[in-house]
Amino acid sequence: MTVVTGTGTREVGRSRTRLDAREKLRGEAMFTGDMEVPGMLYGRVLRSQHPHAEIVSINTSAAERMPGVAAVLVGRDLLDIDPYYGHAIKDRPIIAIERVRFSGEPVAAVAAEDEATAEAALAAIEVVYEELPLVDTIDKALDPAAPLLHEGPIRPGLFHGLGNLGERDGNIGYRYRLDSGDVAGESAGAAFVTEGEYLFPAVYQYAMETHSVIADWKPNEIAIWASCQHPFLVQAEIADLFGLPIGAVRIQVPYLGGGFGSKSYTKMEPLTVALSRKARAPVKIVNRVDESMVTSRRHGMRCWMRTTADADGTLLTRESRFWLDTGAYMDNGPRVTATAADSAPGPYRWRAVHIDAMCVYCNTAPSGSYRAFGATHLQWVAESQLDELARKAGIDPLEMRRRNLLRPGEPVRPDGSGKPLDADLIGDVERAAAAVGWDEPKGPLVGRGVSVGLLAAGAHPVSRASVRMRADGSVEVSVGTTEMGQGPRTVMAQIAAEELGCSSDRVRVLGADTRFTPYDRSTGASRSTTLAGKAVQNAAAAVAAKLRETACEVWDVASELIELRDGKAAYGDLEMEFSEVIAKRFGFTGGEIIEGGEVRPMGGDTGSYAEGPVFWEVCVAAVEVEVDPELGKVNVTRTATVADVGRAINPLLVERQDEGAFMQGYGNAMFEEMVYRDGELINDNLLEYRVPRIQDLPRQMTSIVVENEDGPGPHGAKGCGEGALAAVPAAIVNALGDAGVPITQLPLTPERVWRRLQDLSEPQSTEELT
Amino acid sequence: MQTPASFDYERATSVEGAIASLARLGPEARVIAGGHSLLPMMKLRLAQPEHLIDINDLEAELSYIRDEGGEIAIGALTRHVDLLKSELLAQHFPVFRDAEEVIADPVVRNRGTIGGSLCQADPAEDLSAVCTAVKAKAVIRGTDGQRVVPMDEFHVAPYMTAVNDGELLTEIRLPLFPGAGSAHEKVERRAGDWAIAAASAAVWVDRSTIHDVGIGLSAVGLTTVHLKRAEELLRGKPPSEELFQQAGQVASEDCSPMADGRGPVDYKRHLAGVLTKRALSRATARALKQEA
Ligand SMILES: Cc1cc2nc3c(=O)[nH]c(=O)nc-3n(C[C@H](O)[C@H](O)[C@H](O)COP(=O)(O)OP(=O)(O)OC[C@H]3O[C@@H](n4cnc5c(N)ncnc54)[C@H](O)[C@@H]3O)c2cc1C
Repeated sequence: MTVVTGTGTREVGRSRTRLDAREKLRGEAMFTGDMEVPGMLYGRVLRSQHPHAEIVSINTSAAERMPGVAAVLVGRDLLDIDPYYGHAIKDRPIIAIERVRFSGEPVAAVAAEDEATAEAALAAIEVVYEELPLVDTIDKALDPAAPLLHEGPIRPGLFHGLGNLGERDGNIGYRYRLDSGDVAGESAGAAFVTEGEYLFPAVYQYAMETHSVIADWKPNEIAIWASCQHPFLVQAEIADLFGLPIGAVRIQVPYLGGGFGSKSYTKMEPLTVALSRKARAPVKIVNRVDESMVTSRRHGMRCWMRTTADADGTLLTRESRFWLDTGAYMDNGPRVTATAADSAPGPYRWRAVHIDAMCVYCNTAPSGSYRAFGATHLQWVAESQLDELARKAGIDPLEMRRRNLLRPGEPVRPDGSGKPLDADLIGDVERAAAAVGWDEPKGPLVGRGVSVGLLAAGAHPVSRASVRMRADGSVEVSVGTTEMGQGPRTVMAQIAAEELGCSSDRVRVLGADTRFTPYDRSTGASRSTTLAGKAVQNAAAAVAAKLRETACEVWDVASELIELRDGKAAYGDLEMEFSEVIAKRFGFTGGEIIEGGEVRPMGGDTGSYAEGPVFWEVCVAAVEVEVDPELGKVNVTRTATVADVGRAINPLLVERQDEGAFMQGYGNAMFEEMVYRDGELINDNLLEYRVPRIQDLPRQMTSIVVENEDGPGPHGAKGCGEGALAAVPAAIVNALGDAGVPITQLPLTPERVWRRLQDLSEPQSTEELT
Repeated sequence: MQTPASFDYERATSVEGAIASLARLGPEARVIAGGHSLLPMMKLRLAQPEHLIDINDLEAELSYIRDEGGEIAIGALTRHVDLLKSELLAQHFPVFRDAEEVIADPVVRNRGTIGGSLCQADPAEDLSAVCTAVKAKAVIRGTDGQRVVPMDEFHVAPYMTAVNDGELLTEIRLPLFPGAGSAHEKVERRAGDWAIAAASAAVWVDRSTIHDVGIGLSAVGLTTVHLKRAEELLRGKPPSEELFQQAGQVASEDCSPMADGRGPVDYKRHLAGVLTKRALSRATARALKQEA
């Protein structure tokens, strides 16, 4: 459903078929796992079974003697380099050194002629451990008597982007506070108060393709093929680890079979490079699913929150303290923590806010980015408190939001810093509510809920791109954005084609190769269309300007009079194919036009990015549920999500992104949960880790595309594809609350809902978290 | 481990031949049908057969659903998808379609067989409960001929059946009596998942009394649970919601669930009761043709 459609464009705004569709459907698309390089060995990783232990000794001699084994890598092989990495905090060794901090941590790695030999060699490695006290939960980690997982001064990573990282406090590795106003004073006379404790489980980003890397170490150059989302950040980290200039690390990124944040930042690349360095040969490592599940995940969370309102439902104060379990190493923990804190107040007007967000080390696998991180953690908590206040005050939840939501232009951050609100949230939530029949009568077991939130999107606004027109008029766009199924190659082609006045069919968009592709910070935070897309637009505009320049010279007219359309330069009845323009420019049947485009925080027409965030991604959903109280089953019957994208470059792709985010939000809310026993992940397979299936989908799903042309990207676009993930769990929880089942822990398994109903029917029992 | 240990492989060309091979190779040989249960077990090295006898070419002999007058006969190699689509089964025992709609996904249903399901003897298997409820009999063939065993004797222990080394399950027989109605109820964590608990019920109604009844439960015991005491309670009585409620109560008492990744004991017990009640109620409505 498209609410507003822009006009006056030829490529932009059209639902072009994905340029990579044919290749992928035919099985011709190449992924890292499909690739082989000459002389390549196969790597397998020996992972610790203990979540916390001292490594007393490792004996690799039997494994090294096995025929077909080229090298066995252990911690002591890295004495000649500084082996610690982490883009936020350098706390993680390439491979365990003297101590393991999570079950699944790499302890040794084998490179061999084939995988079976490598696997057999792992079994021949003897490791003697001495177990250490286990700190497997947030509560244990916060105990003052708990052993410290990390000691010594904090070493900032290359890209934490968070100013002063502060000091560690026990096992709290990072802390972020938001403070404004006097919470105690402002809430003293509140008419309505709600307060509660909430639990969100660790979840996995499940992408079909597991982490896969090929690395070829040479003394002066490292070549890597990797399933990574942010090739340029990995390039810099690898250069830093192995003491090479950035340009001496070459990373090529083929298609990715999904990322969702699991392949953000540096993952298996350092270990693969180190193994190649030991083996003196290229090595390929492809994780199994259970290995990828201990490579990255979403933080589990414990949260306390209190919200107050006055008698007419006007919000007064919000306080929250929460702890995110980052696992053994920080990975993207600090950024997730800060973004979660940004989401905690929600897009409302407050008299006072106090948020205290803490990122805690535990003996579990590291947590990083996952689509809509931070917002997914906090929005369902924050929005369920809003509904509770509305219920207490006897106000319709939608009306409650109309009264309190920020309007465009109002400051979002309670302290007034950063970008003001750049979206029409009231319009968005009203559309979503209408799509699930908000005002229709409903039975006693039916509930409806809405949720509204914002996600600080865009990450750091640094993107470059180049556009190259060959002598035959064909076009290549070179941009660092990783194609992982979200469709950027198609969208970038459309953006370039629009500027050039040609069909996107003649534009090829290449995968990143850091040797040739211009720098782009990352593929994440809904930033690619907005930022990399802007760089592509600028580069294409520069190529268009050169075409006009030459056409002006040929026809001797002012450049404003020259139009580029249908792959031709035109002036009145005069027309020249692009190939002719290039031939005229160079006086030869060769040559090319190649131009760059740039986006940076300051200066030029991109100055508005400096405020941060680049834009506020809208997280709005409405849901209707039906409860079977005898079984505890929740049936999600109708849903609506809003993709408030400013301008949909490709409306179909926007809808698909929105639906994908819905599906994952639905999974996080209803099904998914990493289950640990004494620090060990026990459901490390896709049978017991339950990603929703297509048959689980609601009967009616509506994706509302809103185009108010209020984004900072090309043609007024802003990113999408994360908002629904954060909004959906919140809307489901609120719908369930509306049906009489307030919930404080996810996921909503039938058992949990049933137990909650049991508790509610026995008023004497305490409202314990189950 | 994600790869099976090495094994010899043989494709049977006749039931006779398959049985001869099984007899010759003894306990180290296993039949492979759809492979959806066996292959995962082999990959996890929970099963390490030295010989696999593949019976997938025996569709002509082993894949069918026929009305044999007084009985419906189902070949052991009949796939889930065929059970799902069979109008004959849907007409006499709609419980099969109920179950097949919620068993796994199309990929598994296209290859997995009723024989494999029953022989796997996983207590969470839906079809075992279905077959228990409809009082199915299993036809087992060896070199010395065939024997027919009721479901109670077929599942002897967790993952153990009455099929001995050198034998093959060839057919399932469902006796036909008038006044039949049947239904399957299941709660799972997500679509196509194994049951947290499931209940199958069949009733045979005669002049508005329950002439006979069968109830089988999945995932709430070491093997498929046959609710004999609840059947006893129902037999000869006029059907009513109150009576089904009581039968559900008995189901909760008589099952013996274990906690697993799908649910804890108290919740499974509770579900056994509710699902038994609902399955009986729907089966009866079907017998009385109050529900399509
Ligand atoms: C992802 C997934 C989800 C599933 N979900 C469900 C579910 O929701 N509910 C449910 O009930 N089941 C479920 N199943 C189980 C599925 O129904 C069985 O795996 C399948 O039916 C087994 O049949 P098969 O032909 O593949 O057996 P196989 O794997 O080939 O064999 C299983 C066992 O039976 C033996 N065997 C097979 N045929 C014969 C025979 N004729 N005589 C003697 N022994 C024989 C084999 O030797 C082996 O020991 C699921 C399975 C998967 C993989």
